[in-house]
Amino acid sequence: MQIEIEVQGNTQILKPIGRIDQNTAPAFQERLLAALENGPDNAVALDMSGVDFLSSIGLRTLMIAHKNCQANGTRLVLFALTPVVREVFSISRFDTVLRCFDERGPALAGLSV
Amino acid sequence: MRVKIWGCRGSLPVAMSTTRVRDKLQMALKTANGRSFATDADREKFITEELPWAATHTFGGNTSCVQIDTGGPEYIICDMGSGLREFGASMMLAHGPAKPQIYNFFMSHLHWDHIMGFPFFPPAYIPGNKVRIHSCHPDPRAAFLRQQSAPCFPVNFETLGATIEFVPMRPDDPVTVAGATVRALLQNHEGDSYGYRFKKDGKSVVYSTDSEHKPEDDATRERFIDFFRNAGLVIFDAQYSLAETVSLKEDWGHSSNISAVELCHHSRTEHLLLYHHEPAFDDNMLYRIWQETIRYEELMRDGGAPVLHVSSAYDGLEIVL
Repeated sequence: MQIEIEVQGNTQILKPIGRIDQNTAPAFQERLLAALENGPDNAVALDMSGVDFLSSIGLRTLMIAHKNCQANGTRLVLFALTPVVREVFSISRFDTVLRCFDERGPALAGLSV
Repeated sequence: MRVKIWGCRGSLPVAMSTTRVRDKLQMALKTANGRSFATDADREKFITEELPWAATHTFGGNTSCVQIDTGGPEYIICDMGSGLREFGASMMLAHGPAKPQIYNFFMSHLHWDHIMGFPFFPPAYIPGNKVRIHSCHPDPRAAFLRQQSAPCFPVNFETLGATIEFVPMRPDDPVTVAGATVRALLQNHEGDSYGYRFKKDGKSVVYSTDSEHKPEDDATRERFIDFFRNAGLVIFDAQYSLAETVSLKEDWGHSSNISAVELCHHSRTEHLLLYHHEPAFDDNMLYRIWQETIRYEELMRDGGAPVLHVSSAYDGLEIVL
């Protein structure tokens, strides 16, 4: 799957494009977990504006990422969820676990909190 | 085939609280908005046609028990949760004590919430009745003996009047019972559990509760898609949210509405029935989960794919295939 990566200081901004499902989740997971490897000095922001759907395996990848962050101190936020993905987050209750922001600015600011 | 839900609650029986009864009364009175009704028929029409579902229904609180009627004289029942008491009472009303019946039970597993109804099943006490307990577990009898012995219960299992037979079953080794072909499948649950697929006259019902589905386990996912394939009805354990099943409640042995929809879509199931409801949830929350599941089905459906009908089990619900 296509994932655009932008680096701003110690923050990586990952922007996956398309559906995250059974076919694309392994590549997404590999890239996301690699970005989270560097520990408490690092932060990752996921720009979700290009994701038009996320199935359970994609959600599970986000949960693994969240757990890795809890273990090694890396900070993770998501922003710009599309309406469909926002609904999926609500139905699956992932919105109660992950830090989600409407826009990029507050999301990046949230990484320092 | 006809399916009747006698118990749909997971883990522990619950009862609706006074607060929730009053909530429903409030909802009904608000909807009536001061209107008066001349006759019982008028009131019934208002209840049926105008009140919201949540005002006129409750999901109920009995633990797992599902009757599958294949049209023959023998009965098929999945699990013996607390809902079995009411099923047994209905059998006493229908047949009385003098007309022997044959009851075929299929056990998902032997955890307490799935066997607790048996000591309160009146037909088990009546000589002449036959109780056949089909199970893939190695020694189901031990669980029944333990449940009905001191200090847990005053009537020992050995003294029950009915003829009780334990019938061993093996996954993927189909049997014919009450005119239906029954196939079992191993499921992921502490101590193992088994799902059952009942097929008769080209219609299939799958009973799959206490089964955890891990999104990353492709091999197991394919086994379940095959097991559910083209089923008319899948009764599915959706006790937790997906977020819970991959975090706090991972390896607790239950699944989610999200996994339910995905497996049913991939298997071209016609009708999904959410089941094994979380005992901590009230009617409002279970109704919300049901509506959200309908929405997720809509979001997930590929263009042109048939609609997966989504229902949520409640005690007393009947579905005809």
